Amino acid sequence: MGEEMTPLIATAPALTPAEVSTFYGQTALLEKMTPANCAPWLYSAVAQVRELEENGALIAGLGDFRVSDRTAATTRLLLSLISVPELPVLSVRDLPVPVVSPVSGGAISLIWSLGSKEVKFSCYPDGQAAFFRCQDDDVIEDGRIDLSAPDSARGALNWMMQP
Amino acid sequence: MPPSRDDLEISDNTVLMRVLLPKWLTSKGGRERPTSDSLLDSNFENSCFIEGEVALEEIQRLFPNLKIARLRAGLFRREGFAIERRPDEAPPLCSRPNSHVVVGPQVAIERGPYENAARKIVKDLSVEIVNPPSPSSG
Repeated sequence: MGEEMTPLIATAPALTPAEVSTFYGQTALLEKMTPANCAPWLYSAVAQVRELEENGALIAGLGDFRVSDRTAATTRLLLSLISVPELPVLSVRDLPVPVVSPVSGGAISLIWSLGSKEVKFSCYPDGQAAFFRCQDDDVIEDGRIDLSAPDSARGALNWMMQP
Repeated sequence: MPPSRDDLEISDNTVLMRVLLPKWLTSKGGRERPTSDSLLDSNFENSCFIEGEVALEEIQRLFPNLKIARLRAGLFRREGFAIERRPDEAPPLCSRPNSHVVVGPQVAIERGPYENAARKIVKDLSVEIVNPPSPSSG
């Protein structure tokens, strides 16, 4: 009986030690960014930002979004906006998964869509951030996001989750 | 830099082609259209190409696997954008550099109105999306 059981140690490991090390490294990074009880949408948002940070989204010849120090500053700003536990954006847990979109010139947008409602956060290379509250594809409110007082950002997200 | 002038010899009925990153597409009401992000820029300038002055097929070759939006020049002007030829900023392999233009407000504007203007342009029902050619079409 025992000899027919699948051995616990595989003879051909699926991942090399280096790959395992990379995987755990990334996991640790995500864990640093996202507390265990945080909003589920945050994992996807952080992964999309990291992908953009590492690979850019350059349309060669048109000088659009590319990896640079400027980009890194923008991605840091976006991550700070969505990932710092003290910021109440995280308290809006049941949001849909957002789309992280590069913008020409080095800005980044984070867009949540739910039915006819849409909320967009934009982070700019000059260190500023703004929110746009949209209904039926029209902007009905916009404003700056003050990272030291982010209630305006939370208000827009709370609005989107209202029935 | 934002467009410094509006090249009025480019008529309102002229079609401008804007190359789209995959994330610059959305579906609203069952219709695929560009997102407002596709027409925003930190420097208030976005590159387009004038249809008819350069072939769509050439733009598709320069930017493989990407969709292209076709937008009338008049749409940009309706929202206060100008259209300026910038041949010196055309991609190096473009055979018709004079077909390269930048679109945007002529002066820097607040981010809210800029977003609003871009959104009104992209959601116009006349905007069309051209898919990249399939590999088998050669």
